Amino acid sequence: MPRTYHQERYAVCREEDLAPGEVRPFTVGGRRLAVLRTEGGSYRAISDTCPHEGASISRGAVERMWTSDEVGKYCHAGERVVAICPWHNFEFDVETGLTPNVSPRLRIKIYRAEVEDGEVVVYV
Amino acid sequence: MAEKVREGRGAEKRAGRAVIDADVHEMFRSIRDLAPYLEAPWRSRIEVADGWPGPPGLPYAYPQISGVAKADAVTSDGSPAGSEYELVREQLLDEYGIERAVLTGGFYPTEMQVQPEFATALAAAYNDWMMENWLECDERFLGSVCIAAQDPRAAAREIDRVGAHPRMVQVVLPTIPHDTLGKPFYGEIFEAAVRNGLAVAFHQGNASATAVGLPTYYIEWHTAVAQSWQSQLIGLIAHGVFDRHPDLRVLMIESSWTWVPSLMWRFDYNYRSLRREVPWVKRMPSEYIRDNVRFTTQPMEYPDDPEHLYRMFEMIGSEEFLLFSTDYPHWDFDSPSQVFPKSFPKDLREKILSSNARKFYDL
Repeated sequence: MPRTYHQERYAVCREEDLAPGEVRPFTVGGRRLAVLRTEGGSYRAISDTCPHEGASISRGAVERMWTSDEVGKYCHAGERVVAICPWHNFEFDVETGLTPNVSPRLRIKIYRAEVEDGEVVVYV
Repeated sequence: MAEKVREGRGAEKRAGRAVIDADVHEMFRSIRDLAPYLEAPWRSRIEVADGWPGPPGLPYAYPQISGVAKADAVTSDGSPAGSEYELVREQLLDEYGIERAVLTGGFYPTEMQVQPEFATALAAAYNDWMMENWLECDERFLGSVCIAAQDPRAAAREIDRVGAHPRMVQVVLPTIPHDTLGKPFYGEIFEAAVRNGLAVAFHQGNASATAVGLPTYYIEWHTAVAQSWQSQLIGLIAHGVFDRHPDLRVLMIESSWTWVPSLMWRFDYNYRSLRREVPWVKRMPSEYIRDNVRFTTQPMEYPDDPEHLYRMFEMIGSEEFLLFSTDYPHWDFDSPSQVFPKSFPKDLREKILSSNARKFYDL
């Protein structure tokens, strides 16, 4: 039988407490999480500890990922969103935890986040 | 006595080992050698008394005993070392059993501050002179297309004009100090190289400089000038040249190579932080370097512990990364018999001496 892990449900704030593009730290179940609201209005939760040198991700920024097919031109990579660490500016895709185009040596842990009855809920 | 010395040096030949030399400098005797290959109005500009004297060299008074030349490669009539085919054949091709020698010139109109139309005409004249006087002399020679990159469209036309020659293998560019040649402005050059199945090689020229320009002493310039290849290599990647041309092959000639691991680490690290500035770059910088870029061996480094050199090589992560080169006829020539420390395994030496070049140039 595969072992199953129980996830605890934590309501961290009301959905209106986070503005689009805002990221804030919460400590739940003994873990430091960075909970963010994208410009598109969805919510994501990732570890608040950067796997590089341990900076607090919630002190950084959240933005739509940039891409390009031509030198000097900038466009958004669909709806992909990255959290940007306040130290060194490493980017982490909030869907995958990976840095764009980079081998997965540094990956930030991601957690399930939902809006339930007007509350932002994370499962840890 | 001289006979004995020659036998000792010719180890490759006796052992039947193939050697491909990726950096041999063919020279003209004087700029006037190009006159017959120039049309009006450019021919008269170098034919007339007190006309264009040719490009300036490095400003240093060379401290070496024979200037930039290997002392035994000096010609009997005082013309530049590398300007006599017979001597090149005797001292290099036959002496070391060279299977193929890639001619890389030493005349790079890209770096010349002359009228751009004149630079373009000089490049074409040089190619015609080189094909007639060198490629036709010996089938072991392979050629590099000389261009004037300051007019990229004309340079691309020149690549199309001579690139189809069956023994032209690359376009050669000098590591100029005032611009990065990976910029889209120069894009037609890389398109033409790929279109013609040619690699693009970078070699230092007489304008190549360090981060402080031209330092006081030649030893300072010679030690620090690797910075000029580093800037060009970084520029190729940052300007997306390999994203536009995934099959482009680039060779860094005479740049030294032991700096490459630290450049890859630094560039990859910066890519994690600064990718947002250059989102057209789709892969880690080190991946382009491993897949698309090769380096020549000369000038080889000599650490006190030869194992250290092999470890540097291992850090790069590709056995195809190095192509052997002598830099004949210059003073810092490396011999194929003597250049490798024992720390380099025998099968790896064979790859570097010939098979890496054979694959890179599709010979």
